[in-house]
Amino acid sequence: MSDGSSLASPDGTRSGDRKPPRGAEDALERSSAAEPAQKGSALERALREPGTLQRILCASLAWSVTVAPAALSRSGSTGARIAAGLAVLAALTGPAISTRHRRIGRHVGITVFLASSLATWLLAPGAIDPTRIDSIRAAIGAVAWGVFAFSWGEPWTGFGGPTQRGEVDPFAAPLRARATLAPYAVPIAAVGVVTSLVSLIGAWQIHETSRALIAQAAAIGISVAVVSAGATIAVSRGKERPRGERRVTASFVRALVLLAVVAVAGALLLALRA
Amino acid sequence: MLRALARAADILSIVLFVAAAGAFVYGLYALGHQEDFRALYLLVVGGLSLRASTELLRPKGGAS
Repeated sequence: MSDGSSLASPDGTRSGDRKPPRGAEDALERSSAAEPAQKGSALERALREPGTLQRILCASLAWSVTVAPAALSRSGSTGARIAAGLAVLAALTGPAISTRHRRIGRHVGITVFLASSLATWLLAPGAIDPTRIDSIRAAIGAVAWGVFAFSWGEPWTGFGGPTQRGEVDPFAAPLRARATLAPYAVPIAAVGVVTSLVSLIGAWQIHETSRALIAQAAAIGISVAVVSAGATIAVSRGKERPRGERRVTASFVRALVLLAVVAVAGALLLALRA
Repeated sequence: MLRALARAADILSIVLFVAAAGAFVYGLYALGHQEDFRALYLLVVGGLSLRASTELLRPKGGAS
């Protein structure tokens, strides 16, 4: 769910850190000079920012269809209601915060909202029992969560996004014409596609209701992750990099160390349990 | 030397990607066979492998 402003440019910098073109820079200076003169509170200004209202509305829809009924049901505990309250608070404040503090706002609007919603469902297990879920509401909820995911992308036309097809975002990364694909790009992408298909088909083979539900959710997540990672690996290999750029970064080392620790610890636990 | 290192990094990312794919499929299989702990372990390992495989190819300063 990354938006266009987080794209990396060919010179290795992020578009958010990059200086805009001269015209856009002038426009920015003019707008920042005029900022103190703008009327309305900080909240009103945040709501007027492109995309803020769409994110609040979509999160509220997902919350009201899937989280609130679970928390307010008879099986919902006090903890579930507190978690649901935290979720709606995150849904309402995250998009507004992201206009000023992008990273914090996204964490509040996405991470905290998802974690609180998950906590609500875990604290009210009776309300999400697969045998008791209304199929129409479940379908609307699934669509609502999909729309919520898309809402954190580009601002939509009705919510302050570009109105004309030819309108160009001055901060967008310039696109370079592609030369040729790296060797083995197609087999690597094919591994991703096959894995996603096997996961989706495999999830349908599970008959126990609760496990089948978890497997379906996991299979969809796995499919999206594997296909996108496969495409990234397929096209990123062999790409020319700026001189002096290191491949083995600190974040890669952290990811590898975490993988090794979890793999070894889990294998030991599995052996002990056996 | 640099070319060999880049090649090794490419191979490592592919190995991690294939390992992640295998872990995911086996994790779902374990879930279907009521081995919940094994399933959770494999799904988590798959996710971490996938992250490591793409992290190796991500341009410096790219979005996480």
